[in-house]
Amino acid sequence: MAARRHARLAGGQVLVVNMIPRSLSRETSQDSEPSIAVNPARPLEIVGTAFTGDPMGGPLAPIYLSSDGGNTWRLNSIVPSAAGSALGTGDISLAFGTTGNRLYGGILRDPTFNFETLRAPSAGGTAAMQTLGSRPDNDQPFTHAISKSGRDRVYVGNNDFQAGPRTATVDVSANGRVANPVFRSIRLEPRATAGQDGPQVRPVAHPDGTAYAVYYGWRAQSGSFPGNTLVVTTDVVVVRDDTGGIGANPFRNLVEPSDGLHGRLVARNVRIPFNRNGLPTTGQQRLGGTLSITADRRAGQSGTVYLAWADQTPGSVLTVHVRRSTDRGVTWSPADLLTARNATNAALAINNAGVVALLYQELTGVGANQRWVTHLRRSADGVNWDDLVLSTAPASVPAKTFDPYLGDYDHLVAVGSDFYGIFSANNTPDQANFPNGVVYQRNVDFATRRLLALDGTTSVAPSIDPFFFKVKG
Amino acid sequence: MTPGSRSGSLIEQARFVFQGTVKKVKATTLKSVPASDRTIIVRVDRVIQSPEALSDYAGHDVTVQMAPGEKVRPGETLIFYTTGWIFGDSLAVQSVGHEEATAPRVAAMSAHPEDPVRTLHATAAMAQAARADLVVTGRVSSVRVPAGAKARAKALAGGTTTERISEHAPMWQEAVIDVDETHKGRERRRQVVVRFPSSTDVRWYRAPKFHAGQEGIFLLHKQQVPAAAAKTASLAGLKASEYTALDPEDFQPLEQLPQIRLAASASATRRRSARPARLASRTRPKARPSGKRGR
Repeated sequence: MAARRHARLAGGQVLVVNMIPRSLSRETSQDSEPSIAVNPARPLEIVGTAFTGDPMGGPLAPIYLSSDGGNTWRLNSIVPSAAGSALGTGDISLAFGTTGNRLYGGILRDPTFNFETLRAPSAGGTAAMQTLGSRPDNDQPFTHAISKSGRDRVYVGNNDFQAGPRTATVDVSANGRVANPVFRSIRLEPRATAGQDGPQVRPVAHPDGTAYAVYYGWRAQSGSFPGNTLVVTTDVVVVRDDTGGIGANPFRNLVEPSDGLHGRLVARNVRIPFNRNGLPTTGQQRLGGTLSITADRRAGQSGTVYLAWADQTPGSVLTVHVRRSTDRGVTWSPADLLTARNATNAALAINNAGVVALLYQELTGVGANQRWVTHLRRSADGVNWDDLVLSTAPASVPAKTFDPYLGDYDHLVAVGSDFYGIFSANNTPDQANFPNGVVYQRNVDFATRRLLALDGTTSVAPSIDPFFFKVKG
Repeated sequence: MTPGSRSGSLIEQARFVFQGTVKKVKATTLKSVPASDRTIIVRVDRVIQSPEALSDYAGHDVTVQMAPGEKVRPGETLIFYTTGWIFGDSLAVQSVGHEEATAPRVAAMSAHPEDPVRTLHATAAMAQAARADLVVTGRVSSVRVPAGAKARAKALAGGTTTERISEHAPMWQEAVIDVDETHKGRERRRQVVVRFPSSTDVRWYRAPKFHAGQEGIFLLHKQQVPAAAAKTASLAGLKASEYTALDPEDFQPLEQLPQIRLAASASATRRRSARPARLASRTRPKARPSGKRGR
């Protein structure tokens, strides 16, 4: 048995950790669609989430919790779920306030899939997170939080079908710390849609009070979702609020010159596939677009914003584009700063030195040689990008248990100078699959590239696991 | 194991059941779990019922947090009924109760003595049978798209409907079941239609996916889907009165019939005895509880 228990940053720069604890060495679940939260007040405290049910089907779903900066992980079941749930929870993302240790979240709760906003006084407690609000007909809650003047502003992007046909929404609480926080559902979409907007609604806030969000404004569709041929024509829309989204007319500070409506159309009439199922040609991953936005959190830099979106271009299943605005979203770089073909799950972050990083997962090769390659690209100027390959593994192994195979998103955050991220990937313990090194907690034998059960000898089949990484800025 | 017994009650609450020997009290195997009056270290001697991921714990030490009032002594060998707590470098579980580990009791607990995972599935299947509104044996004669679904899908594609597109849509299908025998419930039809989600999305993948010719035991339920979810998350609306099968245990192979019958019969008896006498006398079905039907 060769599981290495003591993690080190490879070359002082990169740490990659398989997050499944040793006590679950036999598990073979598809732990996809991960997200991460790092406590800025205590960066050694890190929380991960994925489609991971309570291994014993308890009434609470687990979070992955690290108290030592990501070196070791344990499962702590605190997310409201249902007794007997194997799923644990539907879509989930969590975020810490900048100060105060409070953990906030948005989930689609099993089994109703109601959208619920959550809060816990800390990540390490054993009590269930408090449900602050609940409503049906929603998708893909995505949480961001920031502390300002002793208050926690909490943003949960979501696709609210109750607001149809203009469904892009951000739920905002001006202060998540009070006993009964009120979330206001802010409708972002002022334009006609093709019945709805896309599920990805991503908010980000700056300490000076500026808040941005990006969404896909769906304009037309062709093909069939049941037939797995749906293609959506969409705008990529960025909105901004200069008072944190808590004023009278939130997220209306950025106006599109061509129609005078709020929401800058950074890309117009691009096409994205919106898959019902992943296919062998898409590396088993269902595709439906990807969005990420990040603002430079340094003082006086809230006008610098990076945006990543994806569309379908010839010869590529999905292409990720990165652009930048330095004037608060009014104008954008006319060409891509970075383009990644056959890629999805884009996630951006900027550290305290202004270095921007992009996490994404690229499908390479054809047929039996297809691989999912997870990259972290960094740039100090938005022009020159390095490329750290965190993982490269066959795209056909294991066979998917459900959709989404890797997840409809992964996640990247920056705290101080460091980047912290999470992605899901084939967990075969093959050093060649992790060019920048990897640490497993579960039992493995790198020499024979086998996962091992608790007894240290019985082989365990490969599956999709969440991987944490930390990259020094 | 007899439904309704103390063991039966405990096992309904517990997913991880094992025979273990108490090694140490006021101690734990995990740094993140502080020792207390309620934490003990137990050597797992034999796993009786378990999810797959924990099925190989025999021979390993685990931390057990006892329920309030539970007391044990070092050296005692007991059956522990537990739920999950902390999964780290080691395992910590929470006890919902324990019993003396007598040989007959251990044997009665183990539906599949050599396979604790199968035992867990058997327990889950019996619980699901107890919850089911209708339990039948039979064969799927056909699978079809519900009436109106095609038109709605077309309208969806054309943007002429307010119905939303979601990756979590169930994509309902209907399985027509030719019924051989009814084991629970008041339906006495030769055919029953059950709706099931054909979607492989994370929300629905565990539900049985029926196909023509499939033969076995069908555990069918009404009103499993909240009305709001049924309205918005589907391409064809689900009526509350329709039967669904959403749990992976809602389809069982015929070899499970003796256990399923037992659980179905016990739950039906409990339901009848729980009803007020006047109401029960007014609504008691005229047909026998188990009515054979020819095809």
